[in-house]
Amino acid sequence: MAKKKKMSTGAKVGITAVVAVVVIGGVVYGVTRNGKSATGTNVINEYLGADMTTQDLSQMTDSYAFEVAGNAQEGLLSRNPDGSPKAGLAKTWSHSKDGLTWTFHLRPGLKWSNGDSLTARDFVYAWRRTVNPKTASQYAYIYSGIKNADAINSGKNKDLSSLGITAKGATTLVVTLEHPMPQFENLMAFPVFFAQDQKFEAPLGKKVGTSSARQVYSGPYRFVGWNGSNKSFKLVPNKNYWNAKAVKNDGVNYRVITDPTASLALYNKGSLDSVTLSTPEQIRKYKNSKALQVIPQSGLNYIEYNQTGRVKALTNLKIRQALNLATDRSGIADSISEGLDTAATGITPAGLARTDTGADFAKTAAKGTNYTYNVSKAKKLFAQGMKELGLTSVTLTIEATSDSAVAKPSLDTIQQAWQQLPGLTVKEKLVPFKQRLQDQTNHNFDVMLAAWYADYAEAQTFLNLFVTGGPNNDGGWSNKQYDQTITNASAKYALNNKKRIANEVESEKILYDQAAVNPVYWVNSAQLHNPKVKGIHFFSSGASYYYMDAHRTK
Amino acid sequence: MNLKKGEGMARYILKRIAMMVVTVFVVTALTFIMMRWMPGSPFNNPKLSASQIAALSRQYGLDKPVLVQFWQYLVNALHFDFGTSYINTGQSVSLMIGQRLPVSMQLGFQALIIGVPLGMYVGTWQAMRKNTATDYSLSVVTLIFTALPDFLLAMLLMVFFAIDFPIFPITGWDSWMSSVLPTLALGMGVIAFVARFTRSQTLETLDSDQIQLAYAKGLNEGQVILKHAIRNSLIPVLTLLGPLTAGLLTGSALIETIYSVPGIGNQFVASISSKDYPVIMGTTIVYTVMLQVMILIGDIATAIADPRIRFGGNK
Repeated sequence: MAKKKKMSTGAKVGITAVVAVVVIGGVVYGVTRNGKSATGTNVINEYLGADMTTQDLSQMTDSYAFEVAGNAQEGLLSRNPDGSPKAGLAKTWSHSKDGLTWTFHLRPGLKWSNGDSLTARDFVYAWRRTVNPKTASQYAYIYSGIKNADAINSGKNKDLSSLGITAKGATTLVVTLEHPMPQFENLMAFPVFFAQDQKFEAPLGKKVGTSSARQVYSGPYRFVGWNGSNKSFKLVPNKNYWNAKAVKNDGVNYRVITDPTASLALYNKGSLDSVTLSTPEQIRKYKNSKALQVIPQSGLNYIEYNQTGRVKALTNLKIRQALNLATDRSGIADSISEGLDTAATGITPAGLARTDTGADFAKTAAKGTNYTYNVSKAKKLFAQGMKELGLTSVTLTIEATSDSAVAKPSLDTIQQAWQQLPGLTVKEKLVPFKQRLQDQTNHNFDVMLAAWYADYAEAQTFLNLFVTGGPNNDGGWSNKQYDQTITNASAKYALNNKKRIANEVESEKILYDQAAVNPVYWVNSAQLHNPKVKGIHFFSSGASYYYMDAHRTK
Repeated sequence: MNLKKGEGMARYILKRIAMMVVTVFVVTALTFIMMRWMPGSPFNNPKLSASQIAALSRQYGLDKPVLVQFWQYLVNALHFDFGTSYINTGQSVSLMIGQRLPVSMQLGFQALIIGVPLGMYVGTWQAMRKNTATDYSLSVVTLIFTALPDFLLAMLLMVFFAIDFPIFPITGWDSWMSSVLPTLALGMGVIAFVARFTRSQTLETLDSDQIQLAYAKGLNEGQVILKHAIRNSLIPVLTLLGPLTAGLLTGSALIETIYSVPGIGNQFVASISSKDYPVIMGTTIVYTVMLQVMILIGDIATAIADPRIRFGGNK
């Protein structure tokens, strides 16, 4: 027994020693750390929810890469805080009467962050590189409409120099289009259209942008400290930027944090200046916080009805109208985000685009639509529709992606409400994202809960989805009148704001009248922002944040 | 060791290495083929049309028959060209693994350094107090830690030691302090696992004739444990250590995700969900080789520790 007691003392000593080392080490560290925690600097602390993938402007596809590029690079045009285009690297620009030829005049003496001079030729190089099929850019499709872009990208036209962009001297750039593009100015502020330094990039080959040092920068900041895999890096002011004096801070520090508990804790500790709330618990807890900002994401979650004949009932207008009326949009928003997402009143989300009079497009369009929850009216229409088709019962399967945490509660709410219609049975089907994409493309579904995010700040990024034969018109709905209003808006009146908007509003009304699809909710992001940091500009499409004006206040 | 045994060992190792090459080839082939059975393509942007996806696939050589692609992959791999990532466009797979693997290895190594000695210590200590209250309570504790998923432990440690009592950084990988919590999250399970195993092994050893003899010789308990029991219970622990090490060194995806550790574990998981074929292949090959090497080392170490084991070739 005595021996055992001796061992236990030994154990105690061992454990005490380990604990002591950890605790003392921790305390010492905690004290020194507190001692050097810097306050009062004018650096903004942000985080990204996933790893940085690339800073190659031709290859980037995710919002984090765009966010960094949107601050470290600048396009021909930039954006005002309200999203409208303003002069960027181009000081002035103009277009021909037919809207097919655009001329940009670059500011003289522009420089890359490494001192190379930045000329019109860098734009020509960048555009040709992105559209070149050998580059295999996933965003090349967005060039569609620029002269010969589609033909070159698909390999039909091998002559890269026939792309509709030419440099006239060092500072003049002429762009030719195949048809007028209402979103054209908007696109000029999108990173895929920015200049690339041929002199710097050509020797790097495929390695362009695979680390922060393998890229040069034309914007307010330089991107530094990313080695291709690490999780902390920053934006520092770029002294070669033409408007360097206007940068109101000393840069932005980024960390990659994927865990929502960790990011919220770091925000609460003051180590981060903003955090996105990502669980219903977090949203519930901070719903009434003064720091809460609900920011529209230009994302639409909508229900597609398969009208290719696979389900007879869905080809009937009254049945589709009934289903639309039986959709509890705010109930769904409540179930997934504590009501912070917005019940949709149309296809185009609020906050995306403006009308010719400066009003929000979605608000204007909502005057012609009436997406409400009205079960009694739905029951009447449903019964009429069933009678027209001679049906007594219908079974519909709603498909959604299982990768999304909000899909299941959305489906549950839809199912519950729809089952109130006599004779209707609703089944749920959750499949992986990739499976969903395949089913959508093959029209292999009854009813699909789908999502779409804007490419540019113009209603057509959503409205174009539903033209006859459109590649993402998964439900196969077709309406001549709709095709006409969309053609009017995108070609005939592309540069006539008033008539273009009128046609777009009319398109929204046709979608509603024909119950072509069922818009459910517009996605919002619930974020906490340090109230002492002012001047961060948020955009719901393209690069999400501009930090140039951001600064700390006392 | 005599010459004959040395020869046997060399032959044994060669044989094992030959088997390793075969295993790596089989794993590579199976992964390559199964990967292509998964639905979809690496180009998941819903905005790409079918013809655009076809064009991209052509650029990446994904339109050729799978066997042709596999052959091309093998030829390149033998020249140490593992391709470039589809998602981190342009980054070479060797560089991606080269940057991330050392981080995961450091984390795994720290967990082992803490886990194995402490686990053996606790296990032996328990065995010596067989069926006492301390033994029972420690058994409960080790059982809990073996059963507790490491990500849950990681969350708990973060909440207690970084958020409620801010001793350690919440996330990151920039100082040794930031590696403490991930190491503990990974290491606690190792301690518990090794402790439980050591306890049962030591109990068996303590019952053996050899130990009875040692006591009969008049050695005290400390001497018996140090000179006889520990060496004997070390042997089974060594056989476990191979696969355990490989598992730890190749990273824990969830722990790396929670603590924002730039390791290979979360990269691997991300590459599977994004169908980043070259990264999936490269990582699988590295994992397979490491596991094989670790098992071999474990086996050799066991043979050295256990005089009863003789290598093939001895007659």
